[in-house]
Amino acid sequence: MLIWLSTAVAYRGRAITPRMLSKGLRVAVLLLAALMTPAQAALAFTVTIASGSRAIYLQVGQGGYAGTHANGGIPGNNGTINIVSVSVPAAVIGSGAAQQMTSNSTVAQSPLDGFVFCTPPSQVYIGAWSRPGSSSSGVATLTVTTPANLTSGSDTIPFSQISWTMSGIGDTVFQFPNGSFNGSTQTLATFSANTWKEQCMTFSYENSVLPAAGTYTGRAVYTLSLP
Amino acid sequence: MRPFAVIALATCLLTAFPVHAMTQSAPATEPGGRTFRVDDSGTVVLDPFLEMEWQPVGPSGGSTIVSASTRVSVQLNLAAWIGQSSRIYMTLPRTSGPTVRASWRTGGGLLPGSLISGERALVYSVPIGSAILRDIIDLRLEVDSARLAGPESLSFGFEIELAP
Repeated sequence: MLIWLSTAVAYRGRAITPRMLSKGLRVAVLLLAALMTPAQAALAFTVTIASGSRAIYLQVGQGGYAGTHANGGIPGNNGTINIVSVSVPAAVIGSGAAQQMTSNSTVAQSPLDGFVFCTPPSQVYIGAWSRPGSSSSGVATLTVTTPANLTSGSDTIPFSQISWTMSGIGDTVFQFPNGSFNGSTQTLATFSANTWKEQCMTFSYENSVLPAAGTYTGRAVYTLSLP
Repeated sequence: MRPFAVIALATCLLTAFPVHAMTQSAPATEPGGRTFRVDDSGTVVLDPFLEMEWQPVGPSGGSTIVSASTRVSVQLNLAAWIGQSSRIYMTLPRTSGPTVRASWRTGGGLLPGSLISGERALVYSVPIGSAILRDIIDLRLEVDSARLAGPESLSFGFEIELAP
């Protein structure tokens, strides 16, 4: 209060300062000023922003979002394991003519905002996000792990016969690389704090080996991890 | 000088320039004009703690920008500048944290606009007509998610620049 009064008097009338007033007058003016002074003004309004609680989400094919994220949707679990397959006509087996694979995934829309992004069944949606929370700025890593071979009893086809390309309707930013499975663990992407990446995978069978007749199966496991 | 006259003069000074006196201790400087912080103590933020969310970006896939919105009931005390030609700016000081882009829509009392932290943006540019200026603004905040490691406190303010 004393600082307020002193400043006010000095500001408009340099000829009059508190020093010119007797002690009694200063007290009187201070009391008067106290009655007139508004409450201490807050000269800013404050908004605090934060990245949210620690969480990660991965969806390959069918996912667990209830609604879309943009509209307040909540991520959840979905135990579905989608299947990608192709039947190679006997006449072209081992010809080297790549065979496009199809899936039983029906996911076309991005769970981020509902945009129709993928074209099932030829494409499989893949999307993930990482939110390390305030306690960490860690980078999440997306990997895919495959065994060395697809198997049919004791017969095998190298998993490396299967490749994928990434795209999406209207896609302009490629989040994940194209590639082929290599029968071990491959890193597909890293996620810095609070980032979301998504794309659509189109799988292809290279068809450059001559296997025994049969149904060959194998599982590719996608893993998102945050340290 | 007689005591009574001193008291009366001091009283007049305090009455005439209360806000000038209160805010001049930390003025924002502006060449050619006088700039003062505006008392916005009546301003209320509807949700002052925001968890940032990814922006819908459609076909381009993911995004590194996160955003959140809130509503702010702005109340500015302009009693000291009634009738004066002035410009009022919204400010967001730069901090050591990530750069923030703020954009807002208004109810018409203030101007809509946007700014980057460290800048100021014009929100009012007509002569001050009333002691209190109120408006509701829908404030949207965007930040590079990779730089938002922890909570960041953003202190918005208002300053008035009087015509020279």
